[in-house]
Amino acid sequence: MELWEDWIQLVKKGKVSVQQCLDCQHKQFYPRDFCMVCLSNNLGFHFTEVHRSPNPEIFTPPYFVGLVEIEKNIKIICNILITNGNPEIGKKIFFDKISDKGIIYYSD
Amino acid sequence: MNKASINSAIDIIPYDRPRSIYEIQSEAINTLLNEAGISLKDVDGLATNGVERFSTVGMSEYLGISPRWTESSFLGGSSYLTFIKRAIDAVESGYCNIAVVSYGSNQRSAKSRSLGGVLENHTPQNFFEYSQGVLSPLSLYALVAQRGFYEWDINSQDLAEVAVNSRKWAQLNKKAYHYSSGELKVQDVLDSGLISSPLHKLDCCLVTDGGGAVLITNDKIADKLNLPKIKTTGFGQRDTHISYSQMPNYLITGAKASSEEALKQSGMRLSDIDVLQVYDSFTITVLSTLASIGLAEPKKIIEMFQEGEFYKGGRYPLNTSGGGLSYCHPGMLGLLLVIEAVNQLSGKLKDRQVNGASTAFVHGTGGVFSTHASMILERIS
Repeated sequence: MELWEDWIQLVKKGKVSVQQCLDCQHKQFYPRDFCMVCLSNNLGFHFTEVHRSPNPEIFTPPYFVGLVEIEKNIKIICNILITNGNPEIGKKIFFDKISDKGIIYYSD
Repeated sequence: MNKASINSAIDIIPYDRPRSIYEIQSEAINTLLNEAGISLKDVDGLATNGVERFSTVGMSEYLGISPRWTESSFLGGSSYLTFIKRAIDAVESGYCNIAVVSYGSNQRSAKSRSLGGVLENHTPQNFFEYSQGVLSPLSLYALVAQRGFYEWDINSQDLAEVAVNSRKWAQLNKKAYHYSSGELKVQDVLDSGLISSPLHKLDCCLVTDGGGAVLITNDKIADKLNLPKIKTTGFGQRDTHISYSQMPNYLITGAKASSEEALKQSGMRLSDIDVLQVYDSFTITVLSTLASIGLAEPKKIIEMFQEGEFYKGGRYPLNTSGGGLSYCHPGMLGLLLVIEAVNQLSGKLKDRQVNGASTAFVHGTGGVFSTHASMILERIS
C-alpha cells in the first residue's frame, strides 16, 4: 500500500512518523486513508527476546522485538538494541536506524 | 419458533496413520450421526472452515450432501464457538433442522505449521509487524506475558502452573498427546527452552492433527431419537484488533465483554459454573482470559492453580481434556473445547468426568487475543 511505503521512506530518513489529520489534528498509526481519533507525546515499551527465527536469512536469534510507544497511545512493533542487559518496560529509548531489509531499530 | 440444542459431540485424534482434513471430518461426522441414528443425507446444515477456500462446499461435496445452511467465517480460535451459536440460531429460525459443525486439521503430519506464521503480504500486520521479526503469533503472546509480569508481579514459575495443571488432566485422557508422558513439574517448563521470552516451549500449545464434530438439531428430532439436550443459554462475541499495535488493552482483553454478555444472557454468574473450557494456545492465554472474565486477580488465580482448584475435585475444573497444551492443538482448538464441555455435561467421560456437571463456560480466543467468543452451556435433559 502506497501510504505504508511512504511511511517506510520517512523512517529511512530517520523520521518515525505518525499520520495526522490536517482538519482536526488527530494522530494515528498505522497510516490509513481516513482519519480515526488520537492525542500527544510520551515513550515506553515492552519487549520479547526471540530465540527462534521466523526467517533465518534475515533474523539471527536472539534479538529483541518490542512494542514501542512513540507517542501517547501510538505504538509500533520494532527491534530494540540495548547496550547492557535487557530492555525494560517504561525506559526511554530512541529511534536508531532502519536496515536495508526494512527492520526498524530503537536503542537506548 | 423451534427450539434447538446440541445433542452430541465427538473428537477424532488420529495417531495410527496420517489422515487428510476431509477424512478426519468425515470420520467424525459419520460416527456422530451413526450413534445418534441420523442419516447423512438428512443433514441440511454444515459449518466448517480451514478445509480450503470453499470450505463448506468442498466438505459437502466430499460428504455427498447439499446443505441449505452453511457458515464458514474465519475467526481463528473462536470460530467454532461462533459456528455453534449460528447453527443453533439457524435451526431455531427454521433455515435447517439437522446441522453439523465439524473441524479437522492434519497440520502435524502435513508439516503445514510455521513458527513465522501465515503471512498475507497485503495486510497491515504483515507490513508493520511481521516484517520486524516477530514469531507470529508466538512473540505477540510473549509480549502480553512480559506486560503481565510487569503489571501483575508474576513470573515464569507462576505461568508454568497452567501447563502443569493441563498435564494432570491429560493423564486422565487416553486421546491426549501427553497421556503417557508422565507428570510435568514447574521446573520442566522452565527447562524446556525459551522460544520468545518469557515463553518456553512448554508454555506453548501442541502442534497436532485432530478434529471433531458436533450435532445440533431441533428439540422435536432430539426427543424422537431420545438424544440428550445441551442448551446454549448464553453467548457473547468481541473482535478487537488484528495488528498487535492496535490491541486496545494488553491485559484485559475482549474476553471481558464477551463473557459478561454470555453470563448476562444465561442469568448466571461464574460461581454457577461447574466446568471451564478456556482456550490455551499459551499459558498466558489462560491467565489473561481468567483475569479478563473476572474470576479473580491474577496472583489469586495462580494460587488457585497451586491449590488444585482447577483440577479434578477443585472448584473450577479447567480444560479437563488436557487442553491445547497437553491433549491436542490442531491449529484451532475452539470446536474441541465445545466437544469436551458437551461430553462433560452429558456425563460421558470416565476418569476425568466432573461429577454432576450441569453448567459449562467455554471461551475461544483467536489471532493475538483478537477474537473472543464466550458460551454458556447447560444440560437440560
